[in-house]
Order: sequence, then C-alpha cells, then structure tokens
Amino acid sequence: MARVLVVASEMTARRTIDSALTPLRTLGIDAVPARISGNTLAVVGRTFPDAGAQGVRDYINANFDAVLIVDRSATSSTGAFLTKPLNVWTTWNAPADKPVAFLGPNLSTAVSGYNLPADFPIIRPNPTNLSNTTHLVDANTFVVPSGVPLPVYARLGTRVRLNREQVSVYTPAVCAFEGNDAYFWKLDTAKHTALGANGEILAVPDFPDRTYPADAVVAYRYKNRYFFPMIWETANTLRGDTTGNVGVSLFWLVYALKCMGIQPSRQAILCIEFDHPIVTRATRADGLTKPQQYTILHRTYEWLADFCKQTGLVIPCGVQNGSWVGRQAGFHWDEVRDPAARAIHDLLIRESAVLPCGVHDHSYTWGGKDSGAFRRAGNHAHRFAAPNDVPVEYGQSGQSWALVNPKVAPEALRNDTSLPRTLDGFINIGAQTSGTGETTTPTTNLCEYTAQMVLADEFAEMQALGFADGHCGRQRYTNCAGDQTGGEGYWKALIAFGFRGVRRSLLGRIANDDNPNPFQRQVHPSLGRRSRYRGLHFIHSTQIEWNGSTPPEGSYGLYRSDRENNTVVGFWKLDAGRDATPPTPEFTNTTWNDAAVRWKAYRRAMGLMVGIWLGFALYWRGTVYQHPPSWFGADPANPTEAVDTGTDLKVNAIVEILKAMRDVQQVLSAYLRFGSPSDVMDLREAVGA
Amino acid sequence: MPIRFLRKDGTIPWLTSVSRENPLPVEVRNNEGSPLPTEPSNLDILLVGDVANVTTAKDLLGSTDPETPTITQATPYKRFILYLYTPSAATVTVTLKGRATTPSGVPLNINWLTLYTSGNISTAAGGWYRVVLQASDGAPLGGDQYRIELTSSASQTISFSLKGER
Repeated sequence: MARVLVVASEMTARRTIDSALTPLRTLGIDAVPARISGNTLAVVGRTFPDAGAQGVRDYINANFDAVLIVDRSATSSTGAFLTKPLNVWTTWNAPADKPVAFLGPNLSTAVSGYNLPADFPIIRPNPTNLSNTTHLVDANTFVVPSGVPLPVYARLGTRVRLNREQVSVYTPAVCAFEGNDAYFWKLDTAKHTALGANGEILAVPDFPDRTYPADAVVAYRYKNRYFFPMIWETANTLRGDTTGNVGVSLFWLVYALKCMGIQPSRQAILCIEFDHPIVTRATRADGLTKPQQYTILHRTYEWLADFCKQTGLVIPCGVQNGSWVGRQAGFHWDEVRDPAARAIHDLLIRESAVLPCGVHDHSYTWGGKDSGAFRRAGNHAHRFAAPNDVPVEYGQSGQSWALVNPKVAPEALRNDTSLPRTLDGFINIGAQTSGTGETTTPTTNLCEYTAQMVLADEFAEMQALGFADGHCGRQRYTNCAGDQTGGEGYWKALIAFGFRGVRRSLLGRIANDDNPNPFQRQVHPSLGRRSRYRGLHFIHSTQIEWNGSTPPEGSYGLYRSDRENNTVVGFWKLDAGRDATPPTPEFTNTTWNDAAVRWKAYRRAMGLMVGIWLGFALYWRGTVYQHPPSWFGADPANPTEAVDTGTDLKVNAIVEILKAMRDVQQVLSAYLRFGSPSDVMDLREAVGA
Repeated sequence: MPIRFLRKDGTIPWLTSVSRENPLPVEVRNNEGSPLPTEPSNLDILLVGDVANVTTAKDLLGSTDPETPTITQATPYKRFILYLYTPSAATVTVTLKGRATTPSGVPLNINWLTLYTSGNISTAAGGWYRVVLQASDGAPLGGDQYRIELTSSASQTISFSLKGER
C-alpha cells in the first residue's frame, strides 16, 4: 500500500487536511497527517524542530512514497507555513527524494520569508497587482452563491487541458483566490524554457468560451515538486454529523497522485441514480410535447444502456409506486398506459442488468404521514393484501397490549400461533390489525408491521409491472422516495425483504422528515455508527438536477430567461454577474445570442457536476442522482447530442454529465471506475466506513 | 506488521521444504487498507460535529424542537461521554433527556425524562470539557432514544464528540 504524508498548517478536522485524508482512505492509500507550525514539523509520533533539516528529508524518503501539502489561503494572507516546504523542500531534488505535491499553495508576495529557487517559474501572485501576476478565472466565482441548492462553490467550473494525456476535462480549478475572485497562475515562460526537462506544464486552461494567454497555467511540475489547484473544502465536507460546504475540487488530489505515480489499493465508485424513470411534464413554455418528451427519454435510455455496458455503470431507477392500487393517480403504472411510455418501460425491463428498478413510493411516504390509512391490494395479491386481516400496529389506542420476549413467556403463550410475532421474535398480545378491507385503519406508518405491508404492496406492484422484485435485483438497493428511509420499523422490514442498503439524502438526519410530528421523527445512524443499522447501508447522495420544482415543468437546459429556476444556470446560481455591484448579469436574452456565452454556461455547469460527483464518490463513498425531467433541455430531434442552434445550445444533461465524467474517469482510471450500488456498498465495507 | 501464511493448493507446504532461501509464502496483512485489529472497546462514537449559535437550548444537531430526538436506537448504551470545545468563554449547560420506544422506534408517549443536568459549566475561550451523562443511581440509562441539549450564555459554535458506553 502506498504511503503518503499529508501536511497542512493545522490538523483540525473539518479543514483542508481532512479533505485529503478521507479520499485517500477511500482509495486505500495510507495517509499520515502532519502539521507545520513556524519551523516545526509535527507528525504523529514525531516532532522535528526544523522542518527543513536533513533529518526531515531522510525521514520522508525512508517512510513515504510522496508528500501532499494542502493549503487554502487568500493571496492577501501573510501566513507563512509553507516557508520550509517552498524554501527548502523545493531544493530536495535528488533521485532518491520522494515527490511532493503542493495543492493550492499560497505563493503570494504578501508572505514574507519565502525564498523560492531562482529558477522557479511560477510568478508569485501579488495581491495588490493580481491582474499582472495571475490570470482571473471569472470574477465573482470564488463564492458559495446565495440560494444554491447545495452549499458549494458552484461557479468554478473550468475546462483544462492535461498535457500528459492530451485530454481536456471539465473540473473546478483554482490556483489562488482573493475575495470572491479565483485565479490561475502566471508562468515566467523564460524560466520555464530554461528549465528544460525540469519544468513541465501539466495543465492549462482550455475554455470553450475564451482563450487564455500562453503563460496561464493550472498545474505545473518543477523538478519533482508539483503544483496543483487547491482542494478547498473549508467549512468542510467532513463535519461529522452536521452539515457544511461540500467540496468540489477533488480531481486535483487524485490527479496529483497519478502524476506522482502513487497507486491506490482500490478504486472509488462513480454511481448515479434516477428517480421516476418515466415521467412527463404537462406544461412546457417551449412547447415540448409529451411525445417529444417520451422520445427524449427513450433515446436517452438507449444511450445510457450502451454507456453502462461499456463502463460498468449500473443506474438504479426508483419507480414511483402507488397507482396500481389507486393510492395516487398518475405514477408509473398510469404513465405506461401510453404506448410510448410502455416502450420505455419495456426497455427498462430488458436492460435490467444496467438499469435496475426498485420501489420508490411518494403515495405513502415511508415513515411519513401521521395516522394515515393505507390502501393496499386486494384479492390476496400478496400476504399482506386484503382481505387478509394482518397486524398493522403493536397495539390499539386506549387498549392493553404487550410484546413478550419468548424467553420469558409462559409455554402456552409461546405456543399460541394465533398471536403475531415481530421481526425480532416478540410475541404480540393485543395487536391492532388491518381489518379485511383494502383501506386499512389509520396507522402512524412507523410500525414494522405497516412497513412490511407497504413494502409487500410495492413489491407486488413492481411484479405486476414485470419487474422481478422491488430492490433492483441483485443490487438489493433502492433510492427511497424523498430520500426518507422511514425509521427503525422500516429498516427491519427492509432487511426482511432482502435489502442491503437504501439511499438517504446527504447527512439527512431525520429518517422520516415527511412526518409532521416531531415526536414521531427518527434519526439515521450517525457516521460513527458507519451509517448502518444492523448492516443495512444508508448511502449518502445528493441531487444534481438541472431544474427546480417550481414551476413543475422540468428543465429547459442551460438557460432560458423566463424560466431561470428551471435551468442549470438559474438553479445552481451560475451567473456570477448577478452578485456584482451593480449587477451585470452574464446570461440574458441578449448575451445568450453569443455562442461564447452559451459555452461559458456549459463549462460552469459541467465543471460543477463533475466536481460534486467526485466529492460524493471520493469523500462520501455515495452517489448522486437526477430526475429525468432534468434532460428536457435536449433537442427532441437529436436528444443525445449537444446542438447549438445559433441562438441556443440544446444539451441533454445526463448525457453531457456522463461524457464529461467518462473523460475524467479515463484520465484517472486507476483511481475511479463506474459501478453499481453493490460496488458502492462493497467499497464502504472494504474501507470500514 | 502482522503476517499470515499462505496456503498453496489448499495446504500448507511441506515444512521440510522450508529453508532460508525457500521460506513459507506469506502476505502482509492489512495491505488492502482494511481496518487494523483494535482492542475490544465498549465505547462507540455516536455523533461528531458543531452546533452553532447556542444561546437558547438546542440539541447537538441544532434542533430547537423539544420533541425531536438527538439519537435513536440507543438502547445498548449505559451512559454517554460528551467532549465539548468552546471557542468563547461562557456558562454552558448540558441536559440529557431520555424515553422508551417500541421495537419500531416509536416513542411510547410524548415528553422526556430528564436524566442528567450538568449545572453551569464555566467555560474558557478555547477550552475542552468532558461531561459524563449518566443516571444518578449508577444503573444503565436504559432508554431507547435521547435528546441531548446545550445552552450557552454566549452565542458561539460549540464542537462536540459524543460517545456511548455499551
């Protein structure tokens, strides 16, 4: 196993150092944290009074394969923790010296005491003269925009050219920042040329919307010292069981490993999920008809099936249940009455190895509605169906009831087969039962009995639709509706129905948020308990939609002025000009006529999507997900291609995201692979978290 | 570094064939990054995080709703140990409340039984504090879900780590 020393200015959890440690653990790379304070380097178990001493060099070379130095400081910061690494470690370049990667080093001239080698070619940013010492990414992009659906630096999407691979990838990239502005480094090209093989431009900006000067650089190798953009999780991703900003820059951590030749023990898994695989929107401002929406869906699923077979990706699809028995109209069962929808449905069944379907019920949210009745199937359709009189609660309000452990129960009670048992084997005296009707008496929808009835009904609906089961086949997983997992009774029932894991929202604390009564709310197992209940996985995930929920029209793609919330630009607050004083919007009806502006929106969107997904793969060991209406910005005549009409850029969100991520995955193929929910859960178990 | 012997064709090689030049095949354990063996521990890490703007009572996860539990499925824990870091000087109090649930995790009724109150803890800026949340009779707490509330006389973001002793 490769061993890496990770150095920062502090060892506090939730800060920059942890943004490296957790992904390294995902990859099975042994990471040892260290701190430099003043001249002192402190490693676990060792303290070196002089971080620049020969003993430190010997210690690193004897014990580690590489060093990662993680920084996150504005150019106006005078913090000088990099003094020894920059002044001394950059001169350790004998063949035996292990490579060192600086991630987001603050090379600013504001820091006194830095004495870089005379031939070092990256120009130090001058905070009072940034325009001549750096290259601006975009103004007002180094910010978590107000109102963004996930607290991220949403606007930092760039496209960079990786010179070693001769490939361009979309990813966030920031070498330096000041205030709300992000910058790339500027290179002294004469010094770079003089370095010959000792200098290497690893990455340069390659924006589809504008050209940078030749001296703009994103990543650079100086001898065997590497300089990369930051991985700037500050109010960071690992905030234990509370929430913070989600980092989006982990591409550079993994790419640094690749450049330094550090091999992982295992690969992180790229997995994405879909909710409501067949759904249409009745009202569209662009006149996109229902048949056109079906066309987009069908052609996209065909494309996806091919993509999955090529890459190993398996996409769980949460089928909306409830219309089969009439709990709620308009869901999947009703949708597939349309022949075009039925054709998509048949495709999902045919491609169940790569597009497996599981239960996803918004008609009766798991652990949700307070004291609601449940409408179930009749005709003995399943063992909890009408007219079977099955238990639904442990007891009836106002009447005596008890759960008796059979270990202490009298023999007569132990042998009484008329009494229901709980999943843990308790004997239930006085249980409330459903009656014989299809609509049961109201329950609190939290008891394990109700959970089993609900799951049995959902599974029966799935089977009536032609699916083998309700847990995505061999994946034994589903993406819960509303990301709510119901509570302890549901978790027991899920295990009993064969589930290995279910989706929860990122750090979704409450298992049944839909339940309006705080008294009845339940809490997911915390990270300290491995986010598991009796082995049942709760997989962290987040939406990467391209539209908000209002108006309920789906996405219009990159940008549309009268439906901004239903575009990726509006939903993710990608317009940096809105925050300027005075506001100077970048994306308007007028500017959208400029192709460069359209591709700027595309670049920001793609970089953001890739960044978020990498964070969820590497940091949370989880997934991301979309609803197919996010794809409705596609050209119905050519649904899987990016089509620039001259006045608009029509793209299919999921196709473009997967294409962009595949480019990244191929660059980082030793570290990342597309996979299934099973792969995600296997990884979590291998990591031990 | 722990090692284990590898079997060849399902058997351990004939021992007489082992020499300095031809040692038993071994592999280094833990080379897949699996967790190192640990000493048995009765302490589980339950929650880690920050709670912000604590002036009125909030639970460790920031909820001010008095009926919302902080942790559930907590039956095995005899007592809890809470580590706090307070960036500001203040008077901090910690309260542990518990109640019982059905096996499906549904509370038997509303409200809570207050099991422990810390009294006023005078905290310093940048100070660490350890609070043992346990029943006064020394017996296991025995509840199924708990609410753990903080108050602070100064508005500050308090970092915490909560462990449960089984």
